[in-house]
Amino acid sequence: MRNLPILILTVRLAGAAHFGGLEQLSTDQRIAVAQQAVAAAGEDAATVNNLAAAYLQKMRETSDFGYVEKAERLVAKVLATHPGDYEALILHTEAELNRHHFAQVVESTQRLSKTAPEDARLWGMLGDALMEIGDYDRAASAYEQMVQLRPGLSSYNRVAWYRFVTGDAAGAISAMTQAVHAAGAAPENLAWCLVDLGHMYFKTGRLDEAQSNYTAALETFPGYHPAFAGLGRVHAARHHTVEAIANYRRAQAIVPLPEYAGALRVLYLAAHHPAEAHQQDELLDVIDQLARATAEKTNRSLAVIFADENRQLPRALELAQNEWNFRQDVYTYDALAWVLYCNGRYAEAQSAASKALVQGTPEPAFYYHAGMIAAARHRQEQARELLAKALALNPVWDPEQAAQAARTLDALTGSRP
Amino acid sequence: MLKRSTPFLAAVLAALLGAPVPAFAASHREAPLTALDHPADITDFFAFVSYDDPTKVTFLLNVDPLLEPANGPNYFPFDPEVLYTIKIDNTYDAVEDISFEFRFQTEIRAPGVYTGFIGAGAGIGGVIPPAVTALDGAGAAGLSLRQNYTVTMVQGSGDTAVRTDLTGGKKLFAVPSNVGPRTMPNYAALARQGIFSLGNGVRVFAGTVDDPFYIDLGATFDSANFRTGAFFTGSPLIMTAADDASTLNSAADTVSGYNVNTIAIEVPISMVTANGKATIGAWGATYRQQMTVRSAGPNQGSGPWVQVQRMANPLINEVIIGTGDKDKWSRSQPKDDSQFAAYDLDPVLAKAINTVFGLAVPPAPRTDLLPLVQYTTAITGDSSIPAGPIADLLRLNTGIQPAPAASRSRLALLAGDNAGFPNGRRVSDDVTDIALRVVAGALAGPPYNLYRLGDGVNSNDVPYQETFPYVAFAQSGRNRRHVDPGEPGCGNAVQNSSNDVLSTSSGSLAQGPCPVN
Repeated sequence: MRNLPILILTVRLAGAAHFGGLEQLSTDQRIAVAQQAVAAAGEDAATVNNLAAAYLQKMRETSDFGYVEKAERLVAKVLATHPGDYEALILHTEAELNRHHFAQVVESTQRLSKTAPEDARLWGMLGDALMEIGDYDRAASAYEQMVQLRPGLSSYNRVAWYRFVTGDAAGAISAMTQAVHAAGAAPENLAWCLVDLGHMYFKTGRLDEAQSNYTAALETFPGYHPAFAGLGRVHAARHHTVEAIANYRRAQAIVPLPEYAGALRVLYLAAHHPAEAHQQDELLDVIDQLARATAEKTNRSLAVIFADENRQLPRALELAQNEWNFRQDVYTYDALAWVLYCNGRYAEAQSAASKALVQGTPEPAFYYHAGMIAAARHRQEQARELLAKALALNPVWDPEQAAQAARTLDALTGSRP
Repeated sequence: MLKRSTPFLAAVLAALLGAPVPAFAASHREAPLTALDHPADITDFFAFVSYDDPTKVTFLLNVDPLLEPANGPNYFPFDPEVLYTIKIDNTYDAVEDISFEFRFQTEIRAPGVYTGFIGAGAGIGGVIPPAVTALDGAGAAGLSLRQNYTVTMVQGSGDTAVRTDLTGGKKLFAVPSNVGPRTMPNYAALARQGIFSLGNGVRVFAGTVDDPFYIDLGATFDSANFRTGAFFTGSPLIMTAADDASTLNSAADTVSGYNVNTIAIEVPISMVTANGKATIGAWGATYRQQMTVRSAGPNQGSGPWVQVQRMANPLINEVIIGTGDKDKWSRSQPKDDSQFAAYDLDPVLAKAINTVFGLAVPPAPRTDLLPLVQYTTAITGDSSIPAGPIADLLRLNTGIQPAPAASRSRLALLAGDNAGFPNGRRVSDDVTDIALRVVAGALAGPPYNLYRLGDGVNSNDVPYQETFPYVAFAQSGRNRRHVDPGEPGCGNAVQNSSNDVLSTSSGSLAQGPCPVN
């Protein structure tokens, strides 16, 4: 009877699969089932892979990187005894993507696609890695394969991303709306898409639509920190400082990302709470300390926040340059441009900024950064155009930066257009 | 490092150190990669000769499973971006000769209303509409979210297909979920308004209904792995003769109290058969549109349709096909299923049954399983019908009369009731038990057909209807009950002091406690 639990589990899993698979369960339930299965049949590769996959989903929901490490250990065990196990290789590649090992992901997915050209996930991960390093043409081809194989939330949201980065905001919103309609069983997946859709609306100046999508995300997956941060950003744009702070604080209490600290600092200063603002600075420094302790060399988000604050500028430059050594996508060019500008290296900043703009990505911050750089280089006409473009996308995208953009534009023209 | 530590900072530090997030973690996209496609997910497909008219055949395509009846505010619309299809092969090449296509459209009729359906009595204060008693016109004011659909018949396939609109200019409304007795006071009457006659003997119904499937999935998932309650022989999964013969449940039905979305169509048999042959092969499939990555402008997504899911035999994908090939299977066509023959003819589950119970199972290759994947005389009764390619189809001999209710058995063909699975599939067929036994060799004849394998759940929690659409209407958000282990809803051995059997033929009306471990 040793294999009886396996048999029962097989029947159960078959039944569960009848309802669309274990993804129907909540992630915690999924982990519990998978752990039971491993206890009963730990030598079975598929059983261990299931648990690793559940951990990766848990990581998505909690931002707790420890789950990636757990998944990696399980996958390594499987590959030790089953070296070619396909599902284990896929999970390994997903973990690598989480670790930003983009070149490796490109190589692995291309290799695996020779044996399994019809696995949509491979093309998705390949496209993701290519987008991260700025190889947009090849990313489009990879995403094309993915959506042909499996149209649905996972592929539509990637099409939306490609369109956004390459300057097609309307097409991006349309594709992401379809992704949202195709929502799967894991509420976090839908919430993720709703938040991303909210960002696209926000960046193109549609605050009401942004807000309703962030709110929908919270209804779908309560406690979803990016949705709280999104609401914080909308409130900040409307100058509702108290609500903005409350929402960012909730986001920060769940996962203390540097972006939340950066936003709170600005909001506390606006609310005349310098002590609280200073706390956020201390937090950013702690985040940086931890990063140094783990020999983390790249961090463009932190670099940009330091640059916005006009402090830790050498460190910001180090972080941004290291990131650029590693990947050259438009977001990295933008981070590098801004950090170079804050370090007074205007010519290099301009070169980087022009590369950030080459795809026409509708990010107000890109145009603001480029505009300020152009002004510093006394390119008045260009500066006016760029700053106006930032404000045209969203005149209130960031309370401090939008105000600065408007002031600079005024100074350059004498009157607001 | 820090001058002082405030409680706030300490708390955030604790979060950082306890669950260290690499600060870079936010700066890459991490889009969901393997999201399940809920609305396009086919959970069951049924095909059977209509009980009340043996000249007709009924197909049910069930999608979007495990719908919790209480889940407002919008409940469970069909997806307007999914193409739902039912396909029929009547030339025995596993390629569709006739298909029926369904497309849905959503109307938001009252944009300011926070919930899909609302209503009470005769209305309240001009704000709350009257209770919902109709799908259209008076009595439908509370249907703030409403769907209608089109039905298209396709003859042939590919570029030469001939498409005929069957909707006929009518508005076909989908039946919403059952919110509860206040909003929808006579739900059955409301749901019946969703049965539409399209002429030429065709009837359709689409909407949320009670999920007709029943199974014990070990609902809690955190207790011991299997049921050893009194009703089993002492060996889980092997039933006593009495419980096997019973219509009552020896274990809790995990699907009790849940709804599902169904698309039901009844057509004359003559519409789907050809060349005087009575047997057809059928399956269901869902599609989504491809999208071109590089496009400008809104309203994209009008690329060609791509199949995302298909189903014919129940549980084949789950039980038979290996994990790595499931996606490939979902995208592929039945006519190409010989690529999966290795799985079909040597199922892993059979080996497990053999190892665990010491029950001899037929040796591979399992030619006894061929009736599930080819046309065989066991179902067709006609040796002039070719076997056709190996293909996962539900094969239905429309010449076999439906079994009257009294002689209908949940074990169908295995109990001598040849009007059920694997001859087509009816909602009451216990496909879990049948599949277990078939995999263990029940179709191979003695000694392989003696194992009373089963999960202990023999019937649905609510009675089915004997007329179209043959399922119970949706359970209400207010009154539905999920029967969990330890709760009443099981048993045929429960009697009161007068030796009255407290249970009836319907699972959830039984009063015995369902086993816990």
